[in-house]
Order: sequence, then C-alpha cells, then structure tokens
Amino acid sequence: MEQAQHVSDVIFGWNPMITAATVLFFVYVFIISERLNQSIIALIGASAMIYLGILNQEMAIEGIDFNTIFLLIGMMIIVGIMKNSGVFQFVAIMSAKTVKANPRALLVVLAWITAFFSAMLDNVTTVMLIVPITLLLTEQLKLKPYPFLVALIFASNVGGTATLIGDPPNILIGSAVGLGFMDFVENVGPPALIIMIFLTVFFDLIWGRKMKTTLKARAHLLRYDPYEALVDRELLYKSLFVLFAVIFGFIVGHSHGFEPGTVALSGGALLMLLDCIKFRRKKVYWLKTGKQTHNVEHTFKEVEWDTIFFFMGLFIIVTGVEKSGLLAVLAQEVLKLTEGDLTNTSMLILWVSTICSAFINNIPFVATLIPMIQNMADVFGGADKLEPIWWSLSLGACLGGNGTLVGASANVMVAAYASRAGEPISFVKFMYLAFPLTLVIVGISTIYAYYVYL
Amino acid sequence: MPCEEAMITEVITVNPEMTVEEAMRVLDKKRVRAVPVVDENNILMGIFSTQQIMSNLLPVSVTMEDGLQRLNFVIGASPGIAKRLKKIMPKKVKDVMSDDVVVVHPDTQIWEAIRLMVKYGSPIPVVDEKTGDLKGLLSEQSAMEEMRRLYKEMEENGEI
Repeated sequence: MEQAQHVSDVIFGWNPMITAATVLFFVYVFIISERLNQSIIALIGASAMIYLGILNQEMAIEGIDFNTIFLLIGMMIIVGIMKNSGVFQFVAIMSAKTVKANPRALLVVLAWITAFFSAMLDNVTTVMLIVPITLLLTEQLKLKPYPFLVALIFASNVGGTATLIGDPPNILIGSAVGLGFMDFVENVGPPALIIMIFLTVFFDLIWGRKMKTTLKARAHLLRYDPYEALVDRELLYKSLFVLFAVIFGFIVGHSHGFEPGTVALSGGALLMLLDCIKFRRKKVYWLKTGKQTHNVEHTFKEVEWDTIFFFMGLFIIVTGVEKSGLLAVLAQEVLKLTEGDLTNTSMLILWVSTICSAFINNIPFVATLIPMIQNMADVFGGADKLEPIWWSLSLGACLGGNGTLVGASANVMVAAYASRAGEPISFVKFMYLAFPLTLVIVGISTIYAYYVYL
Repeated sequence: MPCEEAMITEVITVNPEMTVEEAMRVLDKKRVRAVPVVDENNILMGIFSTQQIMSNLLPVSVTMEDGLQRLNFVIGASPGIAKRLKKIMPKKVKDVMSDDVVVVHPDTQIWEAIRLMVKYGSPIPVVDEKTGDLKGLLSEQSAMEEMRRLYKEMEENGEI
C-alpha cells in the first residue's frame, strides 16, 4: 500500500519505477567510470531519491541498515587500535623464521596468514599491514615480490569469504537475512577452505617450487627478532582479548537476539576503555583525561568514514529502488529466466555475481541484489528456503573480486603498494592469470553449492 | 625584510649528471649537509643532501607511503647497508636528489622563510619566481647572521 501512496509523490508525476531506475543507473555508471569518489556518488544518489520524491527523509533513514553500519564501525575501531601493537609484522616474521626462510614455504605461510586475518578483520587493513613486511622479506631474500602479492590478493579475498565479518557482501547478507557468524562458517567456510588449499597447491606449482634464494640471504632473515616488532605487548593482549570476545559475542549473541552491530560496537568501546588503562608492576593506572581524549580522537580518525557514508548512501538508494517496485519486477524476470527453479536461480546468481564483482565494486551490487532476492521468497515457499541463493551470492560476490586488479578494494591496495615499491602489477598480466583462475575457483564453488546447498 | 638580504649568494651547487660519489666529495670538502642541484642554465632541479643518501639506504618497504613503521627487528644488517651505500655511489645525482623542494623567492619575507626552515629544515633555495633561476641559498646560519647584524646596527643607532 505504501508503494501506491508514493506514486503520486514523485515530482512531475513521473513514473517512480523509471525515476528510481534512472538514479540507480547513473550511480552505477559513475561508480564504474571511477572518475568520481564513490562516497560522493552514493550520497548524491541518495539525496536524489529524496528530492525526486521517491523517498522522504524518514523513509531514507529507515532504509539504512544500522546493524551493518555499527558492525563496520566497531570492527574498524578494533583493528585501528590493534594494528598499533605490531602484531601483523610479528606474525609474519615469526612464521618466516619458523619455515627457516624457505621461499617456497614462505609463500604458503604468508598466504594463509593473510587468509586468516582477512577472515577475522577487514581485507584492506589486512593487506595494508601484511604487504609492507612481505616486501621487506622478499627484498631480503632477493625474490620477485609479484608471486607473493598475487597470492596475498587471492588469500585475502578467499579468507574474507569464509566468515560473516570477512567481507562486506557477507556483512550485508548476514545483516539483511539474519544469518549468524556460525551460519557463514558452516556454509561458506568449507568451500573457502577447499579453495585456499587448491590455491596453495596451484601457486606452489607455478611459482613456489621454482623459487630460489641464497643460504646467506636466508641466514640473514633468520636473525630477525620478531619480538622487537611487537611494539606494545600489553595492547596486543588487550586487542586479542577484545577480538575473541567479539567473535564469541557474534556466535553466542545470535541465538540470544543480540545483533552483530551491537556486539562489534560495544567491543570497540571496550577496547577504547582498555586503551585508557595501563598495567605497570601489578598496578593499574588510568590515563589522564586529556590523553584519553587524544587517544579516542585518534581512534575515531582511523574509522573509514568515507566507507561508512558510502554504505549509508547505498542503503538509501537501494531502499528507493525497492520502494519503487523495480526490484520486484526484476525478481519476476529472473524467475522467468530460471523457470522458478531453486538450483537454476542459485547458479545464475552465483555466476552473474562472480562476473559483475570482477569488474565493479561488489558492495552496491550485493546491496541491490539482496532486496531483489528477498522478493522471490514466496515463489520458493518462504524466506528460509532462500538460503542456497544467499550462499551463492556470497561466494560469487566475494570470490569474483579476484578476477581483475580492480575487482576488490584489497586488490587495489596491493597494486598501489606494488607500484610504490617500483614493482607495478600490470592490469592485463594480472587478469590473464587471475580471471581464468577465478573461473576455476568459482567452478569449485559451483560443485560445492550443487552438492551441499541444493 | 625580504629574503634576498639574508641569503648566501655564492652558492655551492652540484650538477644533476654528476655521480653521487662526486657530489658527496663536494659536501665533504665544503663541509655542508645539503647543496642545490642546478642545470647548466642555473635552474634549480632539486636538493642533494646527506639526508637523501640516508633515505636511499632504507628499504623501499619503509620509505614508501604507509610503509613499515620500524626496522628494529632487523638484526645484523650493517654489511647490507654498506653494500647499499656502495651501490648508490655510481648513481647520478638526479636519481637520488629530492625534487620536491620547498623554495622561497627573493622578495619572500624573512619571517615566512624562518617559519619554513623551522617546519621543513634548512637550507632553503631562493629562486626567481618566474624562471626558477637559483638566486641564492637561505640557511639557518645566514638568516641568524643577518639578524645579528641588524640588532648590532640598531644598538649602534641607539634604537634598542
């Protein structure tokens, strides 16, 4: 009924569906063209939805999924504080020493470390912390960084696929559908694990086994002292404690009605509180309020507000499109194409999201697809019957990001580091390897999806 | 007071095509830490300094934007650093110099120039605003000398 009421509200009596579709179209065009900052595009698109009369401000704000927003902010606060402890360098150096600086083994361990951290934290932050130390280690071992950097890109995207908080598409899906941390671990975790094992073997075959370095270089690396890289051990313990508490909260909270947004943001607040307390010689000291304020201000500056507002704008745009009825029509069209069959629909979603995510940002794509898929609930006999489609969307959107150098923000970040280090990764050269490889790993997902979800 | 009154006019410079080794000898001989790099037309190309050499000794993973914040976990690196220094020696000055230089113009006011020196370090080349022609060099010493001369003059005139 709400929809009918809004038809009359759109300015000049324009058709709301066409108006909303036009706004969405231009938002996509500008995002794909990469000429304009994404946050600006999203906010202008969102404003357009209101000024054109498709939404009013109240509806726009209702459309923002604050669970997602709080989850993002909470995790950004936690990682913003945690990274000051030097834990990432510590783990990287420690593992390099554990494998005795053997380049072949180093490629494997760095990839798995990246996958693990990407599953727990945001991908971009993970690669920002792993890439510099990787560049130092490869320089010391006189190895080309290219294989390592490509392995890190794949590892971060595959690792991110495995959990609710690993990659933004999963956060969006989990929040919109009410799927919990363990739901993701149980359903997309295994295929991510299988793919990581496959990639490890594959990278070893094409690169790892041929890597050579000198004993002298290895001996040099073995003298590194990882404990010196740990800047602040106390901070490390605090942040690990909070990180595990938050993950525990995601798992337990789900069945008690506490949403991830609440858990993550309260975790962020707890870590900021712990950051104001220092333990010295079994005594507890509180930082002076001036210093507290300084720390808190610094922490909040670490939050990527441009990303947060990008999400807010997108939520509003998608709400406008949804209210206009466009997504219901699209859902009908998709169902016509797949003849209302769950297997066909899941496969279509999996592959379309793979291809799209390889070339455009997967966040707006997934944000648009979620309400469209929700419109299909009746056909398949209820919202809970849609689960295979959600997992297909998650796998396609997260893994598809590997396809090109611009497929995911982590790829862009690694590429930026590579060119700063004077070892630029060529777009075409990367795609030549990554695109077919992405098709293979999505092929693995397809088989997994077919036998397990469907 | 404009900068040109406080600047050194007879400036030791190096050529961008010189090797680092030759340029370092100039620094040693003249006992300075930094010299402007100028082309054959006396146009400022950059600054060559001991600091530039130092930053070239660091691995790129540290010097790049958002790079590593510390290196204290690397132990026993000195032979490697010595090798790096040896590698820099035959390079050309233009490949090692900093070309992102803070400059002032002859008519820039001295307080502004002092502010720039406090913020970005000394010395600061004084260049012609239009042509980029090197007119002189303003250093902490030359600025201070000019200020000392000024207060002596004021004392003699009974102004302070």
